[in-house]
Amino acid sequence: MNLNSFTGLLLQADAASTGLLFRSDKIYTVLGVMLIVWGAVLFSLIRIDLKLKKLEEKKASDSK
Amino acid sequence: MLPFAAFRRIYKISAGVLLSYALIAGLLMTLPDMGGNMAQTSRNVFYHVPQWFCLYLMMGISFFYSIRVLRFNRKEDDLIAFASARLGLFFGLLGLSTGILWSRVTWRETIASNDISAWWGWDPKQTLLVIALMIYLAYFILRGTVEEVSLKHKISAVYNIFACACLIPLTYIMPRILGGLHPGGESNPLDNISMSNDFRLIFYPSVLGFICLALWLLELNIRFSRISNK
Repeated sequence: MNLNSFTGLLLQADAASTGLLFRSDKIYTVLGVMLIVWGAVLFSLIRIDLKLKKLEEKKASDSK
Repeated sequence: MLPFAAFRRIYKISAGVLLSYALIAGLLMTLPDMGGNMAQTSRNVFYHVPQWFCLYLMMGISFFYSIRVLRFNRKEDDLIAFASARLGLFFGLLGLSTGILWSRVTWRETIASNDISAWWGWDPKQTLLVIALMIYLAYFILRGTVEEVSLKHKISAVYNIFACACLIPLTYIMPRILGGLHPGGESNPLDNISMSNDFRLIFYPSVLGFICLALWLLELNIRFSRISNK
């Protein structure tokens, strides 16, 4: 597809009708979902980190 | 050992704090008018762009440790090169996904969703990035085809250096020559708009937060590989 037609679309599009995910009235819903996802990721990372630490200590004590 | 081992706790806390800040401030700040149909979608710059920074960082680390593999032929260096290339690919796919979503609601907003061009428009930067990621995918396939360990480390190190040498021309130099809608391209109507200070207040912490997250993930990857390899 011709890239210039995208440029045309970009300039002509109506800002008020733009985007499902990023519309300003949806921003709190998006924020809520993103915070839950990020919280879950952070929690998992900390858990994995602690589990790895335990495994490393176990390995170290086994090898002694 | 990783050179940044002493900073482990700092980058873990930084990842948590900075990315939480980038998430909340990035979605709640009042945006200046970006023109065109960017509107609220320009918030994606806080998440989409830092993912590319992480890709370059991870591939850079992978490149560095691949050189070390050729120089010292140590298993540990290969482990780090492999783990960072894997994470680089992960951040590349993440950046690609957020880019596709972003382009869907800006560049290709008026195209119907069932039309494939609504999701993929062959923008030079997008397309060349997919090629770069495919070059890295071949690195993982190559590793699986060689059985002899020392030979596997050397061959994959050589290929990894080649892949990294392709990454910058493919994703940075060629898109500038070919144009396209990404910033830096000739036909981008938003090219003359520079980032405002309001944006910078969130963008830079977000970049730093993503880099800290990438380093944390790399550390976990390496530690897991060490345990499973013993």
